[in-house]
Amino acid sequence: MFDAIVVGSGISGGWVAKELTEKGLKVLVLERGPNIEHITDYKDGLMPWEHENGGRVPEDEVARDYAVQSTVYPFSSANKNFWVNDHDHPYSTPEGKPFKWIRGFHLGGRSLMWGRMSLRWSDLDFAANKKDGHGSDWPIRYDDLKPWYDHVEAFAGVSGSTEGLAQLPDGDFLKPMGLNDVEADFKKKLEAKFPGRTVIPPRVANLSEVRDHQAELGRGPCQYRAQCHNGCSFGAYFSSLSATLPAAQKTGNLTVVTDAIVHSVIHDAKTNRVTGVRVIDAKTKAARTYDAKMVFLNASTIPTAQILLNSKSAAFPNGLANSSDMVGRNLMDHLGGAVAMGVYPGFDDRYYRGRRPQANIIPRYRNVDTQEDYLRGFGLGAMAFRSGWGLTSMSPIGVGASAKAMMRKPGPWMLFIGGSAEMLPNRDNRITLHPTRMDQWGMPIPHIECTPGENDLKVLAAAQADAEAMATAAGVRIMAKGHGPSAPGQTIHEMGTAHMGTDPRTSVLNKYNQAHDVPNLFITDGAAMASTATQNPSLTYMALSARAAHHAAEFLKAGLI
Amino acid sequence: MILPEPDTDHTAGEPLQTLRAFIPGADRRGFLTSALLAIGITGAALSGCTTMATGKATSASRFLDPARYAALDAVSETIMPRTDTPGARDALVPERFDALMQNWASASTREKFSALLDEADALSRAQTGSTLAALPPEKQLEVVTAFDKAKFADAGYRKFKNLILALYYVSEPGATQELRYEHVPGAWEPSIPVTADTRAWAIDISL
Repeated sequence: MFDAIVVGSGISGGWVAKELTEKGLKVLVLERGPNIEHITDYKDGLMPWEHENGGRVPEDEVARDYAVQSTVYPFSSANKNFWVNDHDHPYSTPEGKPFKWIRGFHLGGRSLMWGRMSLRWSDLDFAANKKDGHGSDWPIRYDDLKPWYDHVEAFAGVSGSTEGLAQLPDGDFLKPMGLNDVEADFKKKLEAKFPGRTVIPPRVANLSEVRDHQAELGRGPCQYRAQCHNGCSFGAYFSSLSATLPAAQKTGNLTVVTDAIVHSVIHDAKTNRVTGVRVIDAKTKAARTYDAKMVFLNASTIPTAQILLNSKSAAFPNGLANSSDMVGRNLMDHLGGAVAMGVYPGFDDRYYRGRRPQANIIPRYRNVDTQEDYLRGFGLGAMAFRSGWGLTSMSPIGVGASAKAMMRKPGPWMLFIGGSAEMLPNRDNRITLHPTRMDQWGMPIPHIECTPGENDLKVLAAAQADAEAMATAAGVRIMAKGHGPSAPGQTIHEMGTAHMGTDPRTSVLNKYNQAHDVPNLFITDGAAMASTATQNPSLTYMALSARAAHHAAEFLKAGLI
Repeated sequence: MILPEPDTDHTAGEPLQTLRAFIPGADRRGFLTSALLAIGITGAALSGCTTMATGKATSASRFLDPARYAALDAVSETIMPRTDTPGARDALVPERFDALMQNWASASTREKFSALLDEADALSRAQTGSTLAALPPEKQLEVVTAFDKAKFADAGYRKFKNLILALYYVSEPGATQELRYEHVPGAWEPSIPVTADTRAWAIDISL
């Protein structure tokens, strides 16, 4: 009997495991995928010319096994094992309504491949549902989460600049990764031509400097290699494997079992408590159970809902903790597709060295103090770089020594602005269990239905128009631009399928991420989100996880659960 | 430098999760994605080259038949000749290209690339009466220049040419003697001057 079972070892599960074990609780982390050893299993040490097939995954294999996963830009032979085999892990979508589900089933989950942009939400975001009536009012506000943002940022390490922006609260950041000369020029022009808009360095969970507690875990400073997606042997970016799981291991209270697919959560109707989980061994397909005093679901947005819906009983015929019928509903992503890119004039005599691990941020400026003819907002990023051989060779430069000479020198500067739109909660965007299709482990596969709404498309169109206007105003000759929305799922910010709310009739979780229906069941992954805001969500998952773990441990101690 | 016009064909597709929420993307075949991939925003993903070839491969173990391999060898070295720095042959581009045909390419890619090599040789025969491989370098340059010009609108050709360039620039000689590459920069220096000695980074910003 464990004090707690944590289902999933990704960015949120790792945090729950760390917090609970550090409070003295005996914790079992169940991971559906295989073990990955930090450092040992990374291929970041290979020189580019040493990669199998130069990083290329064979075309036939991509078509057969990675049709969805291969659409992720860093997908390569060096990190292929970080992405699921689509053929082995099916899901269904309605005809003509694609949802790109990008997944990593292994120890550490997508914390190994995440983009690491770490942005706080503000009350502009937590109050949005209440203000316009879409979705459930968040049961928390910034003040509730601020100490936990402080807590997780301090441990994880987030590089960034202090800006004093109400809509994007500051933290105690590690030193920022500065703008290059064209980015600095763009910032100046943007601020002059569009009062209220600016460009700030990335807030990214890479250690631009190392504090003592990070060094104690064996983490080192960012080397600006841009190897993040192959795993970092320096432990310079935050992941479950570099940070939270090692911290949890140190307590002696952690048990990790990999290749353990959670089939369902066991509920005792007499006590209205969950008592453990049923597991299918990924390798042998044998079933077994684990018992615990409480269960945290951190399987990620879609599997968490899948597990709940698959946990049917007389007390919960529609799935566990689903008296509201909200489990699986309100699936959201950030709707991508806004792009403007082109040649930035001048600065031929300036360059940079190193590969900064993220792009800069254009903090939100729409619907902050005024109201456009659409609700909510969009997130934008911007970066500048000098074109190199790859871009140059896309123009008809010919062949031979003259072309070689042309590609030897840094080419023209390019400015890139890209963005994605907040999606409104919509109860009809949902996952259900497929009525007939099972995966090879006997789990009904998720059926995912997610269609952008009218407002979502308006927000994206506004992001596109603004990106073009800002680039043009800076003197950029636009060469490439977005043409409408990308498929939901592609931003890999899926969330919302078991959301927090104040009302048990219309939401699944309370303000402690505790199921309204079942007191010893907690959910702190993306499923818990009641709206998407415009920020990248992982930092908020971390803060919610640490906060919920704190309260769950208190409740357990007090005998409340 | 001439830069291509926007590819109006490209439809919005997968995001480039490099910028996570920020960079939504274009169809993988579209201009924008290709451009970003090509400049190395993928890191090594699409711009690397294989280690499988050691240069010891014999014609018997090659994927391409001797005539096509000879054409590949000539085309590669003509596109990327040895100058004051190594060329495609020095960087084992033909061997590595052949290994990718064996280990990476789908049937349609194999067919396309083989056909391109045949076409290059056919053009050479038509213009000079000789195979490409048998021509002196300056004649090879004339033929391949004409071929490049004639085929540049063909996406399959651009993929072929890009592969040859990638195999060169992300080889050790290409990345470290012709261009510059530091596997562990150790610092982000956002503002440095360009000097007479400055060369482009072989693999640039990757997010």
